[in-house]
Amino acid sequence: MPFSTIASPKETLPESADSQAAISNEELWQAVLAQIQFSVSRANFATWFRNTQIISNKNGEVLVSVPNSFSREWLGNKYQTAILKILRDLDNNIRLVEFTVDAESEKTKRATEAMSRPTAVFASATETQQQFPELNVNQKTNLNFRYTFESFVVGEFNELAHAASWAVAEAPGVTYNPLFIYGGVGLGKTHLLQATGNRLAALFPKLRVVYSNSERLVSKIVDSIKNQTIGELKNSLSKVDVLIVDDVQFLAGKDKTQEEFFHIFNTLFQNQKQIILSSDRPPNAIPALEDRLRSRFEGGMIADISFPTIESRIAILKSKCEQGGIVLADEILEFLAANIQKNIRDMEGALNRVAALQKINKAAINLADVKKLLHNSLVAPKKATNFKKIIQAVSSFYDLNKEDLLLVTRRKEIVKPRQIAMYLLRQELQESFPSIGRRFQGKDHTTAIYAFEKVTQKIEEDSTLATEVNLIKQRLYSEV
Amino acid sequence: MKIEILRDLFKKALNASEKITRKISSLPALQNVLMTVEGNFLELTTTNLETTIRWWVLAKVSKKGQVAVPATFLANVVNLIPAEKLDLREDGQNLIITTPDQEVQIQGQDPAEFPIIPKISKNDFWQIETTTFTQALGLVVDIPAVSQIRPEISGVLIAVKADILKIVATDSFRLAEKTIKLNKNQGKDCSFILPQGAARELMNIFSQENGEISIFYNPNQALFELSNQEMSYPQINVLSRLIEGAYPNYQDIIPKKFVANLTINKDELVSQIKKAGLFSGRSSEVRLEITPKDGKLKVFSQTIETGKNEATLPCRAEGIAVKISFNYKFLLDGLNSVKGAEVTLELSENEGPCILRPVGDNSFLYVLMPIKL
Repeated sequence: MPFSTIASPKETLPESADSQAAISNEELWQAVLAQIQFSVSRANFATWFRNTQIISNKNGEVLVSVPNSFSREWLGNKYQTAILKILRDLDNNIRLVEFTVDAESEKTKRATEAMSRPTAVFASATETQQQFPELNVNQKTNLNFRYTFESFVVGEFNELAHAASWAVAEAPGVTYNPLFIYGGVGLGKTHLLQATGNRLAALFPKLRVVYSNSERLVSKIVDSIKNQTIGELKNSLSKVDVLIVDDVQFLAGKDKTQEEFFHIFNTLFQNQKQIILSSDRPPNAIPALEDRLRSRFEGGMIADISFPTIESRIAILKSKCEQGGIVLADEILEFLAANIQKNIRDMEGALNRVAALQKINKAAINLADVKKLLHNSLVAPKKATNFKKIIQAVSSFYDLNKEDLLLVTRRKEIVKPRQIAMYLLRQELQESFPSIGRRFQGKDHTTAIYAFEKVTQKIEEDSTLATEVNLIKQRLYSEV
Repeated sequence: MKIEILRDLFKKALNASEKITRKISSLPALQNVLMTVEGNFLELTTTNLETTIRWWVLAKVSKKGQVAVPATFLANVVNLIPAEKLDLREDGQNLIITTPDQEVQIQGQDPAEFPIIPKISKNDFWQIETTTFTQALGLVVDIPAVSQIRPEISGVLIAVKADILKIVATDSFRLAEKTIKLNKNQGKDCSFILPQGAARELMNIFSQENGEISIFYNPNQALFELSNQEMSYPQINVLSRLIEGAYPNYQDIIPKKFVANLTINKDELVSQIKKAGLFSGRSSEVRLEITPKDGKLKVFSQTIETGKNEATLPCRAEGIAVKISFNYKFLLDGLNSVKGAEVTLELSENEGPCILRPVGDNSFLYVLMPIKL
């Protein structure tokens, strides 16, 4: 039983405190109200006695909760004696009555209201004026309640990741631990992680679920090292029941953070707490990640999200349209899905722009309008890359300095990225082999040919390399 | 009661107190001002159960006593009595005002029906200069929007940490933060959410006063007290209910990374945004195009009904070229809160939040979400 350590029932309902009382607190207070109404004007009764109740009755001391300080003053100053007298008539053990402003009951009311928020907020999602997304975030868990499984479109490209997440949400800490989800930019990793967290929080309200992206985690750890509160941070993190960390590839190269994270990871894992991670690439492709951490990441379930098929993309667009109340012709959706293949977020962005255009025109728009509107964004990226960007993307992916890539060296960690850079120059920019050679400190054109062919061949054989190259390409074109 | 009082002091107190009274049929006492004579003071109390104002006016007291009369009615009457000095006395529940040549009698109600004002322990408090406080409140007070969904952002956050006071407000589209350094370290940190209505009253009342306000608080209420300049006796008390709940972790909203920034003359930008706003139609959308390499900012707006408007302004800019749209009203609100001749606008990528700041002043910032293109 993995939960035996977690769930200690914390419900101390006020009524249960004095079950031996002859009549319940509720009945007792009703009896008081029934009598007091004769000696109070109707208006006063409605104003000052509204939302009052007995919250405890112990050792002859009755505590009455009132909604605000004014009610407390009024009842305490004007009706204390009358109320006490009535109470004593009903139960002569009672010798004291006190009033307290009860914030607790308000809070529970708020909490239930908060549960019904998503629909209310979602209605405004179609408005073009954007809101601060942080305000939709639950302060305890850091989860954005707009991400749910219901709004997640499942296709063959993500069904494994979805199924694994679902399983984890049903039984945290048991099935897949840690769960590691990887996939390219804008394909729904964050959505899936947050949906899992939200479902966990809904199914197991007592579990402490905490979501963080690694950037925030890093800055927290850095801050706490600076303020010498690292112990407190570790302590608070090791108390959570479900830890979700997004984009762990950003931990690359941050050794101290990795070390601290390693310890937190171990503590949680040993106590069978669920850990869910995401990254834009599999653990073994994250550079500068300590081996012990890498092997921990690989120890559970690894699920990937690949690129969606055109059918899935159309399904996603349709579901977005439904949520936002957007009506567009099928051929427009098909056009969008066919032309934006590698990034769902971009595709949704394009959809929003089309929807905005339609709203301004106040009439249905046709395919030609859409083509015109999106002309720039669809055509531009292909041309937008250049030598500098390729070097930048490759070096940042492998966590190298840009200059390192151009060094004349045969160090292994440089040779491979350099070959990939040459491959990309050829493939993406159609540069001639001699000019590629010249860019790398005057290497011979045969070196460039060799690199290109080797990478081309290796991509066929080695799926990890293929993923890496794909991710680099994605970064190349996703950057604005 | 029987007192003599300076008409101008009485009038000022009355006009400020009267504003918060309400006519509510279930609790008619709330339309009254409770006048209590104690010691050498006439105390005026008004409340709407959210905000309570108590104001002490020095008076020549012949006899103690208490009356409750409709506040707005009394204020209207007093405004029309042109005398230097007034004699006030009670007759049963009625208030009688006399001058050498005039007499009015105002029908009152039972003072015992007036709500009892909650007390607040004076253990935890901090102090701030009135002008600094009211000016800071003025920068943010119009931003909160009444929201049933998120009651915690329908007020103004007031947070003190060591000797730093932060005053913050947001309506989920924009957020303003004013930072003030207090004169002394306040020892205990404090943070509460003040309802917008109370913040407005504080501004109205204290912006005409000088001196230091002491702020006392507990989890349910906060009390803003201004002491009398001449003697150590409270002059004005404003007590407010606080909004329950935790304020959102607003620091997360303030972006830290930017793709472009520009510095520009404020007045020129304001007038161009206003003009563009005229053409923006119902969507209120105006578009900005920043081209850092030419040092230019283009302001553009268009609707089918009104026509179109385009203007180019010189600016100093860094970063990449950006096209971005804003609700011009929100943009203007921010610009109007920024003091100084020049403003900086910092833009984050992917239509993320932007920051508006005065040049050379780190104490104020205005974060604004753009309109999706």
